Amino acid sequence: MIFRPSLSLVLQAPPSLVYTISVLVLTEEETMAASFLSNLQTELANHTVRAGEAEVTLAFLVQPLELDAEVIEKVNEAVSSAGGTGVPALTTLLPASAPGHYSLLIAVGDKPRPSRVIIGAERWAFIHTTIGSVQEAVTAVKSMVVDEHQLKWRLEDGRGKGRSQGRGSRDTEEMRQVRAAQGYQVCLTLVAPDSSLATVDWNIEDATDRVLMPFLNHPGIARLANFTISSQVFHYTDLKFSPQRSKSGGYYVSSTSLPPMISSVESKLGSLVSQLPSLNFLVLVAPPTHSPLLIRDPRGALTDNFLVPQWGGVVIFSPPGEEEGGEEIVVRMEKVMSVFVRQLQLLLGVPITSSTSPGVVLERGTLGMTEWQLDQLMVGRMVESVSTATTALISLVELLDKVKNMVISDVIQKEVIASLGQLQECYRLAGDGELEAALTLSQRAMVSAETAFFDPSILELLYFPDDQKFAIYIPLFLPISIPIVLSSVTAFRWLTSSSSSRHSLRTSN
Amino acid sequence: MAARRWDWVQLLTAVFLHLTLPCMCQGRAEQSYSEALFMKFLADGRVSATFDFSTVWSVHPLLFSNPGNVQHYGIFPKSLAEVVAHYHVQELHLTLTQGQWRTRVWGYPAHPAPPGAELWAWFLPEADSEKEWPGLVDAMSGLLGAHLNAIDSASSFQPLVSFRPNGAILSKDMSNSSALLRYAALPRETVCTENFTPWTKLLPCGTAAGLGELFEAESLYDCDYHSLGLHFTPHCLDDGCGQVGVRLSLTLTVVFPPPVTSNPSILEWSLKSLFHRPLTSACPLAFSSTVTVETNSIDGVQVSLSQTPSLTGTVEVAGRRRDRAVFDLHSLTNSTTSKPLPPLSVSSSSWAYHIMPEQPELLVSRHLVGSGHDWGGLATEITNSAPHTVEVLYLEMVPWFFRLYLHTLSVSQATVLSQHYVPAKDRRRAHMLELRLSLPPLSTSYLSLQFRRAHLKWTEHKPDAHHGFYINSAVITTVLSECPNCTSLAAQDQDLAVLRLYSEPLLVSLPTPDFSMPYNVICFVCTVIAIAFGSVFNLTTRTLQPAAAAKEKLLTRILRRIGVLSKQKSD
Repeated sequence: MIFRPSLSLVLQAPPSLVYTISVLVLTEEETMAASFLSNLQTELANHTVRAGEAEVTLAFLVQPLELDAEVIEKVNEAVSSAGGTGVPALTTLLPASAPGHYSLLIAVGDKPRPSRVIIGAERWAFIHTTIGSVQEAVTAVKSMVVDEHQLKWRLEDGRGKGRSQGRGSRDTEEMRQVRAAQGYQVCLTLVAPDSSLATVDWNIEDATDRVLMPFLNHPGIARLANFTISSQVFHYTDLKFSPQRSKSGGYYVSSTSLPPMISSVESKLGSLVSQLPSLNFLVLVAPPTHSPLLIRDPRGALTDNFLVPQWGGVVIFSPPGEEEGGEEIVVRMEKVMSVFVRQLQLLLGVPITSSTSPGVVLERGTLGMTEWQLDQLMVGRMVESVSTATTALISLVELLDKVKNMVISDVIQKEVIASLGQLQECYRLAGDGELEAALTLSQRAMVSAETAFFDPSILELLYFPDDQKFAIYIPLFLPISIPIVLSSVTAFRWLTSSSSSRHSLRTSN
Repeated sequence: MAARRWDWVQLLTAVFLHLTLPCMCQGRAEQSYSEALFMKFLADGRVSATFDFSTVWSVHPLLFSNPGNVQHYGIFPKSLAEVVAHYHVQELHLTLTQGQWRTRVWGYPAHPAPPGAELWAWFLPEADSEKEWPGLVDAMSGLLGAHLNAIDSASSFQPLVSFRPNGAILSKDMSNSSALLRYAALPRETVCTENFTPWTKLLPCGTAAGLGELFEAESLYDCDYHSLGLHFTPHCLDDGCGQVGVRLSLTLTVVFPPPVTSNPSILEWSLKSLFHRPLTSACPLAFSSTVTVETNSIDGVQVSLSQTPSLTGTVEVAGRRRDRAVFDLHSLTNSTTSKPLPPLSVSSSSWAYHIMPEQPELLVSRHLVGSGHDWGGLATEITNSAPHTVEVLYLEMVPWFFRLYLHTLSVSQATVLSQHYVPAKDRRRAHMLELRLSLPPLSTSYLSLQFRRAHLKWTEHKPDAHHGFYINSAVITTVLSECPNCTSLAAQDQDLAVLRLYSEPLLVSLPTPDFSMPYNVICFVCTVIAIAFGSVFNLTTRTLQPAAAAKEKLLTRILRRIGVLSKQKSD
């Protein structure tokens, strides 16, 4: 109970995130730039995202962007180039950015023309606006920095109120993402269900190095969690499915027969040593007797891969028909692996750039991922981790209130104190705008809190419930209660009888 | 004495002397898998079947233990590999056995194992074995569904010389330090299909192809002896041990009861009659898949085969010729046409039960002596029927609640060359006695040791407390120059063989408290309190008045009825 006061302190203070917006107004007039900055600061007031009891406060700090005169000159050139062709060069001109720090370039045009907004891949935005209007800038900043919808459901998720309930309002994108964790085990498995596929081969080392590693080593992905990759080969796995012949000459399995297929492999996939969630990717080699094999979804469309929400993905590889049995079958890994990377993006919730509103141009980043969207994901993950950690701590306290005589070992106390410290540190870093460090600390806090909560010594069943103690003392309570009950009956009769008979009752005794 | 002890350590190490320097060889690691079954008649007409499924992976053991972020396991079971790597294990041996191997009749076992579960592991020099061991135990019990989590610090041992690494030795410190070794045995463990099914999942072909096809739990557990094994060792890939890989050997030894036939002088078995399953294919992943039958295991009994073997050969085993017939499953079955394998049946003419085989050179037997619930003793009998002196290591492991008195140790015939004793600490450590004995030729030596039974706290008794407590099998370890009675296929090829013999585990009853006593006490005390309360309550709540003595009392009336009082009145 030592941690009670500080626990309430931490859990009551909502985390606040501070974003720094550096603004460069491309104009000769100093006063206009200053007024624009102050207008922007007032418009971007503190903003609170709420989901149930949990909430996050977002704060914006607007400051002028300091650049050398010659750089400003080049920026001006790039911006005023015909048709905006020079705009992509801005990335190299602007200073290197970090998560939580964004640059805004405002070009003030006298001519009233349709506003043009370009959001770059690397945390900058260029806005062509008319004099005095900050509205475009506010919209651009908000769409670049905050994904309120994501923050909301992640807050709920951490509270354990999300996925399990499967509420109708939650869309499929949220449902399929894996829960926040410090790391993930990516496990690639080749499944060859048939005896004729004993010689099947896949060039997994090469495919991992060339396709999977560049994605996982992308800084935006690598900072989300630690990824470990392993691969294995299963032969002779009874997949318990029966392909049907399709009109086009191939074979298909209906999507309803997929769950038993997964569960037949599932039992061999678990890890005994790691608590980290695993993401499983299966390459299923179709038997030559049923090739090509596809999956038919309820709407009748045929595909060769499917995603299992929060679990992983499956790709069916159909060996080319001309190869006879006995010859070595080699899985074409380039295509399979690129499907896996796409599925991994979906499972992790990596947003894929697509233009949303007219007049806004989004620059595509490497592998289709932009820095600012990865930042949003990172903030979302941080919020989810914090929310999970606080939920675990609150549940622990609630459990203690329920089972008063529970013994809390020093290990649990240590973990709880560590978790609280890390949460406080995380809040501090988030307030300072150090989002990357805050994410790491939030994950650590989540791990500590969950270690404390899932410690085997605080299993509720281990404690003797009070009602059973009462049962043991029945031999005492029962004989004692008999004379009490009997005499109370007598007393009741004596009290209810009329005053005249009271006397007779007493004398008859 | 210490110096001589280390000589022994070096000798035992030399048996598998593959001292290597780490060579972190890069490149694609090769995996090779082979399966073998060795069948022979035992002297009492029983049939022994020894399976050996081994996977050799040319990844360096240190690279294996520290794979970094990327690891491609191929056909090597990932679940086991992760456990081994996570707990920094260099060598791991786990056996789950039902029944006692009868060395006197059956010869030496191919894969010696005590009844129940046995787990021992060597950790890598950089590992903190104290910390890793409990985790490893938990993970292994999860992997094979065994109750290994009953192993705690009070039942783990660090024998000095009895259990040396079997595989390639990766570092020089290893051969001298038993701090990296942990040994534990659970004689009470019962082995069943819940252990067997996860074990078969570690096989690359499972039970779908190859020798795994023969596995049917009902026939495998309806037999006289059954031992599952899992052995992970660093492994030399070439003769000079320039390259080191890892090897996982999954073994299964089954002893079937004598085949029932109408003519008692002819014993006949086939794979179908023993396993209740046909063998239809070889595992396509295995580079070698063989069934070997020994045709002249018993002198004077000739065994005939229903099929022509792929290969016949004779091996010289301790001056005696042993004929072996090898069936190569790859050539017998064509993988493309899944034609069933022609049934293999083996019959023996003129079987004579009275011909007992020559007794193995070394035999060990142990029993409990003493009566009552206070003192007791362990008596071990070690027979050496070889015409020369044999040096053996004797390891005795006794739980702390048997208070061992070392001064009562008496050894007859044999000479104690050195002794290593670790006394117990209550609830934390068990007794361990390791003796190096020299057994004179053609002799039977007796060892005896006295103990007192301690009282356990009532919460320390296990469920079914009256069952008693087990003492681990005593372990006899020696190096044989030749192995005439071995049942295994491979051991003969080596010049020296480490032989391990396990005695019977002992079941000892301890003074058991009356577990219902606390409740009895509660009931008794409650009743007394209730009676006292009742009387006091009545006295305080009722008004007492002198009774009108008009009516005759009930007691007087009853007494008059039965004639006690009437007589008095008539008098």
